Amino acid sequence: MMNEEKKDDILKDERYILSTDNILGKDVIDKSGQSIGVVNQVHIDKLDKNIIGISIDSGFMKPLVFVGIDLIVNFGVDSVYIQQTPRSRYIDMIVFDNIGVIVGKVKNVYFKDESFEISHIKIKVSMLKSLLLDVKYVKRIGRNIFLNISKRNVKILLRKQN
Amino acid sequence: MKKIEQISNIQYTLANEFNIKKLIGKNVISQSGELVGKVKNIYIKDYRIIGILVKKFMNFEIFIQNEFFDSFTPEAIILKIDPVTELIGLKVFDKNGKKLGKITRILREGIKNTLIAIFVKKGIFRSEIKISLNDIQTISEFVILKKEFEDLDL
Repeated sequence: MMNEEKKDDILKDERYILSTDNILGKDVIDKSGQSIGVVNQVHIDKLDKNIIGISIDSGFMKPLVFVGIDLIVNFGVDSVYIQQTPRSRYIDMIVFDNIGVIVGKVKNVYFKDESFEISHIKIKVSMLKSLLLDVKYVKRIGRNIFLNISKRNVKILLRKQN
Repeated sequence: MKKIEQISNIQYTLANEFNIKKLIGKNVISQSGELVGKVKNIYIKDYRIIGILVKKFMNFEIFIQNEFFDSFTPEAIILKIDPVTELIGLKVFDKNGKKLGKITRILREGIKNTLIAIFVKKGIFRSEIKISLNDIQTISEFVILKKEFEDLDL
């Protein structure tokens, strides 16, 4: 009963109530402080009448990214914080080899089962060729990706793969 | 190919050696993979490279000491730091996602890459607020604070 009263109080308190205007168009930021995009849609379950997630617009020509409500940490005044970095964040990142030579761009990333830990990255090496690379060859992921092998070794791996 | 006469006590295969002239105009990449700028000049003291001058915009150049080089190759220079000077212009949000403004300037330890505080301003008519490093949670594409705006010691 007490809990119900508390809930009512919270609902009356305007600080806890949001409208879609407060959410749409806001910056979406992951836990590492990287920009994921802006909120484009809010999804509501018709039966439960609960918000189930948001769609994020990550930029021109990029598909919308759906993020479930469980992964949303906070609906802030000016931004939305999410817990995990979605796959789309990695797409089109530049991949450098161990001496800073551009190897290609990220085409896709693959996560380990039921986690957001990367297991493989697919690199677009040329117009027609892509390489699926184990994460053990990745030295660092920041705004772009650094490998711990040279471009020459990447080409060798590409030849082996084909 | 031009014939090169060598005057040296050691025989070098010059084609295999690192010609620093080729480095001019090459990319300088930060630790997180962001392009910092292009090599404009290389500084040498006592026959050793002490640092590079990186050209960013028309009138903005940064000198980076060799201590901060992670890899130094004819293709690019990768730094083992994210230069703090790159923070200017980043958006700052508090713990609850409230936008505080953009970083207008930074306070660092002398000329080192050690950040002490950031100065944030929201709009032309608002005054600048100083936020110390201790209040910062994350620095990446955005800066996120550990506290709510109201709890900051301003």
